[in-house]
Amino acid sequence: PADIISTVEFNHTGELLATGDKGGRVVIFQREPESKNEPYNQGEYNVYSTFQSHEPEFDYLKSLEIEEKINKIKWLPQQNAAHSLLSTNDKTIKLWKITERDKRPEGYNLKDEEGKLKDLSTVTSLQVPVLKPMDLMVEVTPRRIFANGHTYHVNSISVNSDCETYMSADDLRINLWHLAITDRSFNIVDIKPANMEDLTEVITASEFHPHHCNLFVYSSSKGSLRLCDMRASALCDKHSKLFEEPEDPSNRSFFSEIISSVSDVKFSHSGRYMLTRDYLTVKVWDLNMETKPVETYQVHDYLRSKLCSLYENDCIFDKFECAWNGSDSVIMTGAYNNFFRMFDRNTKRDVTLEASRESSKPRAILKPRRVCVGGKRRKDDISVDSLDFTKKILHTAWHPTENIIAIAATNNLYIFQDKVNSEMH
Amino acid sequence: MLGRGLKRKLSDYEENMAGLSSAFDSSRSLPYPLKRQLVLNMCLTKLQTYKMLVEPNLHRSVLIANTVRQIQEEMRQECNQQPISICPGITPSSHSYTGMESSGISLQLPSGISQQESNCCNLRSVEDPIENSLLIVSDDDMSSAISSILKDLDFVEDISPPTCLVPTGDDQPKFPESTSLKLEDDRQDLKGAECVFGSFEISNSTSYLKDLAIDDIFEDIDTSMYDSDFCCPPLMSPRPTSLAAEEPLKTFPSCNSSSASNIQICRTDLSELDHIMEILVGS
Repeated sequence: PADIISTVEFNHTGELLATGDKGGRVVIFQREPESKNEPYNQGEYNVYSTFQSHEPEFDYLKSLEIEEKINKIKWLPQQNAAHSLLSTNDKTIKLWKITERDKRPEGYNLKDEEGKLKDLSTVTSLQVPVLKPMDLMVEVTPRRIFANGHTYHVNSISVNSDCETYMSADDLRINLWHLAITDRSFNIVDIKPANMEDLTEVITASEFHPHHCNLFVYSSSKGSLRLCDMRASALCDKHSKLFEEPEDPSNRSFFSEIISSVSDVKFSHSGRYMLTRDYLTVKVWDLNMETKPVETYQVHDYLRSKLCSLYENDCIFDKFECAWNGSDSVIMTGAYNNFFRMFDRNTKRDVTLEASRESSKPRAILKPRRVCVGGKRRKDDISVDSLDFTKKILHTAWHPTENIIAIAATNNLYIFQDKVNSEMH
Repeated sequence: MLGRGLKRKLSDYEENMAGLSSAFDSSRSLPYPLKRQLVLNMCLTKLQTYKMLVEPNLHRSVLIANTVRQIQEEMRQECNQQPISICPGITPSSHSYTGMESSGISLQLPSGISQQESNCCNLRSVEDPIENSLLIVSDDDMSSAISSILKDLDFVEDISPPTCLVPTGDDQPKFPESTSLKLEDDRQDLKGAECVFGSFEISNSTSYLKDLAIDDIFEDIDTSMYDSDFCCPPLMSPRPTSLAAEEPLKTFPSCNSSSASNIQICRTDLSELDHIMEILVGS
């Protein structure tokens, strides 16, 4: 099904929310401006624009089909009336410009309203065309296409705080691009070994520091994070800092390495911390401490005893994303059975919520869910064995300033808002 | 027939494997060597499946290959620790034929442990279904499987010019290229910040064709029928004494063990896998 949502991203003000799907489409939602007359309608997101970003391609040289699925969308900071975003599939990144048109000129001298040329003999006077209001039209145009930069599959893109450059990372390399230049990119990380048989580690995610335009981090399949400084050398194969937690010997299993693979890394808004997601946990790292994370939260530790089955059905390779709230006090990530989890870093409380039609009537309050592992089972608890592993919440996003979250559950998008300032936040 | 780009239907096999993996998860009484063997088989099956795909997932392949290497290393260490080290390939007689008698297809693990073998034999009567469905493969098969998959990935993926100043497009001379890049970088750094975009990768697709040698284009022709995947590297491995002994382990009793041609062994291997699949599915 082509409408499985593959990425979700708020823009810098939170006014716009973009989603990408498996069919290469991007849908942008816009938040309705709040009005005192209709307090219940305030802040709802409605479709603003839909466009086809990527099409399936065929690489004739390698006889490979290139999927049109949108892997990531990143918004550029708004610099004028137009909005811009980058969207990428496995190989090609595109810069899109989104503009509004709510006026149109009327009263041309040579053409009539339908655009047909007028019979000049009927024109008796000259008029100056005037701008008249029209129904809002949103136009999306591709401004740049950054192609042929990647041999392997692009897993992340990140816009630099300088607003001029951005980076794109695939399994083995990271490239730096200038937003205005499409025929050249600068390779800043290359972990491809001389002999592919020696390959033991791949890049899984990467992101620029929110404030320092020379710093970026990338995560690996072995669970390590590397912070790199572009001022140090042109090719950032040597990291400035390596963040790695030694393995817990008591938890060792055949699948230890696989579950340590980091699926997402996000800097906090403050720039002081990094958030990582691996298969069973989310971890908060302090940039000043490389030896271990400062906080570790168990997302679904009850799966630890099911790793072989999850390996067998490939669920162990699922890549969950993670998100910070605007104040960096709460972190969020998805899980199975359409559950998602939130952890309050201050109170150390956590909650499991479900994104489903049945539990999400408009303006209803989400009820916390619980997974029971055996022993006492309360009403409405779900047992581990009845979890639906096909319902996975891989993509989540948090509004940059407010308590609004967007949850992608397969092909449905849920937007939850917190109107009352509850103790959770 | 299994070809490139086709996914095998593994529905029945998956049902069997699902039973095994949940047995792994739930049963604490499964002995460790058996668990390890189970995981190893799952890994190799996955790698084998990925080989069938036109474009395997690099991330997954690397993770699975690492798991196989880890298990391999563990087994090697155990083998070295054994006082009576009956190691790779030198015991075709007793072990291999007992194995073949009971299950009909399982190839004995040469680097296995003699004690473990007897344990497994005892277990066979109790846990027959599990034992019989395990495909026990030799050490060399594992390394060669990993090597060939990763090699294939390189070949399939990286025909494009490498990321360096010299746009030669040929990936073979790796070391000189990467060092030249680094030297260039040092010089670039000295020139100052304005040269940040000095070293760049020309990402113009037309350069692919210019840089490839004519022969390279034709290398892409599928010769999988004649490729030796599982068996070629061991034949080239520096173990001349065990070579003759290993061959019977790889081929069926019905095959002529004195025949040493690659193609014959490979075709046997393919039909061997088919035969194994049949038995798994049949049982």
